[in-house]
Amino acid sequence: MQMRDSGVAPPDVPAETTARASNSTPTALDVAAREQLRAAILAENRMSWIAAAVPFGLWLFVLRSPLLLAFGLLIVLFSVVRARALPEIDRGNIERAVLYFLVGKWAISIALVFLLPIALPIVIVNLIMPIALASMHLSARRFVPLMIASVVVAFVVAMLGYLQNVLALEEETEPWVWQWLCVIVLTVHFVPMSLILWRGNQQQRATYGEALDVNRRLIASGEDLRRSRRRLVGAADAERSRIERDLHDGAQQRLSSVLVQLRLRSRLARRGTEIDLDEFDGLLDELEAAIAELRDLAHGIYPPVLAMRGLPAALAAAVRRAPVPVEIDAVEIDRFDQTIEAAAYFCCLEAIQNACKHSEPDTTVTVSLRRVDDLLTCSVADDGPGFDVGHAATLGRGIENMTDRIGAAGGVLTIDSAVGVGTTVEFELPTAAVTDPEEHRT
Amino acid sequence: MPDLRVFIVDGHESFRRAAAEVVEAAVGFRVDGCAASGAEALAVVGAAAAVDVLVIDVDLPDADGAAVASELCRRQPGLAVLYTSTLRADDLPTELLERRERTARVRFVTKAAFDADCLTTVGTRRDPVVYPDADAGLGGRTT
Repeated sequence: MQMRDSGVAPPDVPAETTARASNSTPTALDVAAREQLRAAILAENRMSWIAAAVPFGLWLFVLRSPLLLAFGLLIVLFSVVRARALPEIDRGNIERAVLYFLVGKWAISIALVFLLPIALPIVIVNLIMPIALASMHLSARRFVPLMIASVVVAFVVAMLGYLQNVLALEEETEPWVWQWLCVIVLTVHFVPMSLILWRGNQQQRATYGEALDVNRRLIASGEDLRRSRRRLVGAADAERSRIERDLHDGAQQRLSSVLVQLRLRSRLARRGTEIDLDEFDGLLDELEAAIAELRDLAHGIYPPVLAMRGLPAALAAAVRRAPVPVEIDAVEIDRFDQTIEAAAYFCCLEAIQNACKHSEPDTTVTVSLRRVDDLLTCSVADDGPGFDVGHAATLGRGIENMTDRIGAAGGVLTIDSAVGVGTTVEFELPTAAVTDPEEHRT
Repeated sequence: MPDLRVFIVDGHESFRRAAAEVVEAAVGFRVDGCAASGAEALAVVGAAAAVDVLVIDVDLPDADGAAVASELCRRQPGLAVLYTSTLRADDLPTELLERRERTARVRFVTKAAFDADCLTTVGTRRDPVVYPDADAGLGGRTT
């Protein structure tokens, strides 16, 4: 029983040791193959105890031959050798483990057929199993010598089985004893063999299913990514179009008009017409309005305070004229990569605007910014009316924008809301700058 | 010879005002009316008022300026059209430029370049179009 105990390691230990020893993370298939080999060795050792009991039993009750005793001891000896294969599996030395397994099988098979030629069929079955196992685990370089060795062993076994009967153990007692023994042992042999094959197959099927599942999830997430990217590009295009529209309808119109009027006045003045200074003031007002429009537009594209002072200052500036009180609670928020700052800023702004849009007179909004190691955590919480998150229809374009924006910056966004409680938009962003080789080339 | 009647169609109040000033200052032209949209222009021109020159923004808030101008030209053959826009000619649809070529009485000018000279290039009493010399200046005012 000692050997079995030494062989059965706690289930979590082997994987760890294996990973350390082989210097590379084993794949799921590797792990399944090792488990199969381990199961085969354990099953074989359990059978060996019964197998060893047979010659001892025969020696005790049927035939007092020292050969039977020697054979029993041989079985025990190779059980010990086989048990040594288990720690080798844990260390990742699969080939050595297979070798221990094979050598044990060969030695016992040769001894058995030497003692009892009638046991030849049993021995054949015994020889097929290890070479089948080896074929699953060995590289071509190792497999060929083993195959040759296996052929040689088969030859020796066949020779012994068909051509010799030197000990004539069979004749020293009633023949039916040996005949029935062989029938039983041969039949029993197929139980562990079937189990081992079945288990290996199950494991491979499970691994295959797992791989398929991972594949499916990868495909799905790829589709999500493509959709999100399309939305981001669409949003950026829409934004550019809006800016063009604003410029066209605003500052550009004003400036064109002022230019036309100034040119007219300049020509009139050259010809001696007196300038109406009140009209001139009107033109100056137009110019001021145009400049203000340009400034607002530029601010909408990228807020200058964000570029100069970072997140807390930019958010504080943005909420100064909010219709409800907005508290900015930032602890140790420094400067981050521009992508991170922009994503966090516009996402907070969107969340604050949403909170204000749906606010009640006594609603307050709290924006908290925290940094834990390489993670920036922001939450925009209000005690407004809230909504039912379960209703997907209420999640608008704004939330999709936020999710896409945070997702593109490598973060995760969650929205928590309940009717009568309020809404909390929370997101995390990795602050470590993503190094983009394309970006550094320029 | 009576002044040519100019009708201004533009969605932007500031440009209507500026254009009107230029027209009033140009000799031989007077502002006959203004419209802030295509619909307004279609309701007035050719129905309540007969005009000689149409100053119209290519991009009206409610309609395509070119389509409105075509309709008004159909109602009033011989109407001269001066398209305006803050865009450059390069940014305009080719279709508009082609239409401009079909009849010599249609011109395009960017808003910033709008002045009395532009009016004189399209606005003459009868066919054929007269292209004044560069020296002619502000709608003949120098004479």
